[in-house]
Amino acid sequence: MTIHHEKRGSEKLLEAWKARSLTEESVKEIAAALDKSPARVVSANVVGGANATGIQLSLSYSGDDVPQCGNDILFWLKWHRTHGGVVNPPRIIINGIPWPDLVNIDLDFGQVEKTAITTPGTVG
Amino acid sequence: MLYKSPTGIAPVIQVHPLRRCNIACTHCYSLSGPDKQEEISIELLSACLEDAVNLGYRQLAVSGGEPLLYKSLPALLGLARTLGMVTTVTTNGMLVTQNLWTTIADRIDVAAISIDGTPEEHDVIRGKKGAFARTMANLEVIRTSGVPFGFIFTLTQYNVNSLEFIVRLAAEQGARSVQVHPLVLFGRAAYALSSARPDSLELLIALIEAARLGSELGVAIHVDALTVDQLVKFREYFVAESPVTTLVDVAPTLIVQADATVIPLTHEVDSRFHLGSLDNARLLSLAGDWLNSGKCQQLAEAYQRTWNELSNLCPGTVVTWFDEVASRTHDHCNIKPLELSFIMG
Repeated sequence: MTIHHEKRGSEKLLEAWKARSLTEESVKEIAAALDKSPARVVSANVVGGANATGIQLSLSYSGDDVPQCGNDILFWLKWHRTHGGVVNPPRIIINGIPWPDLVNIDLDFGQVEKTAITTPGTVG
Repeated sequence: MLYKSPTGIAPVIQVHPLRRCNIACTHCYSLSGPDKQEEISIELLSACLEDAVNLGYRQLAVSGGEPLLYKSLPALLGLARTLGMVTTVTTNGMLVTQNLWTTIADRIDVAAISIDGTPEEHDVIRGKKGAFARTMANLEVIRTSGVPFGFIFTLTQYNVNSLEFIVRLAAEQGARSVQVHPLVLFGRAAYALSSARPDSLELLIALIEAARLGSELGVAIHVDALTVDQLVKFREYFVAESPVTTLVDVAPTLIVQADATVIPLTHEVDSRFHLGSLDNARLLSLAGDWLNSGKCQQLAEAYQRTWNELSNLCPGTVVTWFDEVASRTHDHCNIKPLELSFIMG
């Protein structure tokens, strides 16, 4: 009996999906979403060098804009469904319990290696 | 009109007028190649088509071998059109020339071009370097003729990741559709690709990819597979009510091989269910004898058995219906269903 060592098509598909590079279209979609969002962009980093694979965004929502963060998380999910990448869970920091007056969210788009990120000015 | 059959379309007679082909693909279920000489005369096929229409078949699907090598192809397609049939031709596209295509273009409703993956993957399957490039170059002839065309992609255990390439190619080249056909372990494929039949997981991923890509790129994609959930919901399209009195009820697809053997359903059906040879009798006669022989009812029982077994699986399990039925025709007392190596929990 011959043992076949080739990977399943679905395995190859998942690997390719995770390794997708950023495209102009995918970046424009992020920019367009940020234009519509009330979030303040605290920081934006492109990773992958010349062959960019991902974007790290830190967003801040305050006051009445806080509930809008859910829309941006939904956009983030849908973006991955279209453009691929590794879906790292967002880092969400809420200031003010039970009524938050400040929410900071770190969103990774595409393929970003998870690193420890410190967002300045946060209070647990 | 949506016919009450698994395909949803009118019953199909699938004709392989010859086994000669310019290439010898590793996945070929008809074991076709350049050295194969089997061919059916146009006279036999003409009588067969007339009988097929009387039996309820409304679509003629011509493949092979390579159908463009069949010299009587224009006559065959012309007769089918005269009889009011829908006509399709499945070709590797490598032999399309302006002169040849002109003789058949006005007699084809849809052309299906076989594309097996990226250029490198395609050439390996086809066993010929440059096969992909040649087919692409010839597409212009088909495009300018106005004949609607689509691509057929053979899905294996190892290539669902290439579906996006195929669909994007279809969108770029003006193909209206992509048909994703799971590999059948028959003919050359049975020994050359024995471990490559896609299991339920790969079929499921194909369905998901088809939905994603079809929505994104606007190409109609049809995967020849369905979920158990769909099987249960549309039972009347898959299982004929007993007693079965017409051939089309249990054989919505009827196959005529290059050796004139007539086979119901798929090539994998047990040979004891074959109707016989057109060399010995006309199709109407073969069909009448078959219906009276009890084989019709046995095949109907195979359908029922298949449905009973599959309907108990998890609703998300993906199956190839005709192949499942065919596998249950091989041993009435010792059923060997296709191995379902992945069942969703």
